[in-house]
Amino acid sequence: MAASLDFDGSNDYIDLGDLTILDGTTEFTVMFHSNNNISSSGNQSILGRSSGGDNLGVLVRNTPQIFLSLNFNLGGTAYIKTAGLSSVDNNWYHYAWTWNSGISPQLLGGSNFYQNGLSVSLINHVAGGNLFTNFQNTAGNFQLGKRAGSTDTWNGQMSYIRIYNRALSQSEVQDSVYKPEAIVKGLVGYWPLWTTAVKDLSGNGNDGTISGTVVESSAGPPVYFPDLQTN
Amino acid sequence: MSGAFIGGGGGGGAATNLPDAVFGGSAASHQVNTSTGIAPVKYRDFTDIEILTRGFNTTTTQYMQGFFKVPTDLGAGASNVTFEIIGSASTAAASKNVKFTFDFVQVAAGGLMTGAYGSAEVWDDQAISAIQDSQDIISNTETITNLGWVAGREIYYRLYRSTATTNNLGTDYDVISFNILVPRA
Repeated sequence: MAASLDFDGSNDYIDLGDLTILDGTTEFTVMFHSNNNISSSGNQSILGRSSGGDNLGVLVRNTPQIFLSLNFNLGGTAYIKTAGLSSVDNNWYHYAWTWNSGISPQLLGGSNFYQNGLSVSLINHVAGGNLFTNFQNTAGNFQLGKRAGSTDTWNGQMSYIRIYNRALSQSEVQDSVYKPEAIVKGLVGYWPLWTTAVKDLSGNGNDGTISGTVVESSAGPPVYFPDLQTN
Repeated sequence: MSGAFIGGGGGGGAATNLPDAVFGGSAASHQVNTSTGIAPVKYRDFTDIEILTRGFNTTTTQYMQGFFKVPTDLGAGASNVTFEIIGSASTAAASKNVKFTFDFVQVAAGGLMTGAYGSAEVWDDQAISAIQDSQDIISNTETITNLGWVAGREIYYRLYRSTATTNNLGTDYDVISFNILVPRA
């Protein structure tokens, strides 16, 4: 009976297993609603997976600054971060990161990041280098509330995690800000986080497993489901 | 046109009248106003029935909103509009009440959209079931004359919960649907 799931920033996370839905794809979109409580210091990973380095990650720092990381096992750390992003603790935001490998430079040029549907400027931390042209499989599991291989647990509430195997347009992202199920084309993972059962409603069956004390919360983002009628 | 749905309604009015026009619908399909508190979409699991609701607390004022067009064949002024909230306490308790308020703005065709919400219908001390997972139907009426609704105009409305005067339910009240039954001539 919940509107979101609450992570304590200590040891809470959800493991989605070896999420292979993006393997080999040349594009993706990751979007979610989050209510960040980043009064805790240090890095906090909202979601991602790692294997010998970041494979995909979205994390926040207490500045607040949001970092996006994609690493294709180059032996180094390549990531981009938001520039001038403004957010307020304990407020719900919708975030979307789209990536298209065909746009140069591959990591920065192919990425767009949106807060509540508005484009956020991105800057490179490390130049892309010899990035692969598609998303590589790794042994790391995909996790919510931290990245596998890291200890950067996240403090806040989260809901409506969606992963697409294509880069959505800005207008599609904007459609999704208040309507979680507005776009279904390319949807390969969908976790509303309505219960601690962590069901994947995309049909791909990647249900999550909770570690720690992730609890259900009656707080949630401003969304609606326009196709529901009861009369 | 989310949150505004026309369907065949129940029997209101005399047998020679048309069925009521029914507006509103699922709480989760109602729109949100991002400049105000929002009653979040909330999942409820009633064993086999799994449904999306909106959970209204009383610690902050939380809204949902919708709109509809008053039927052109609106009933007589003395006939009643019925407002029906279907919901269930998140955690039921004995002898508890809830309070809901319905605000609206009426806009004529081509009229300004800048009017403030007013003309509230207030439903205070509405008794709810003490049995966990029971359904409540909170039904109230008001005449068309008192509402001042005019055929063909658009009604923009919002629904919110506040603290009941007596025996207020201290936990979430989860609204499943909100229906407005408008009599037709």
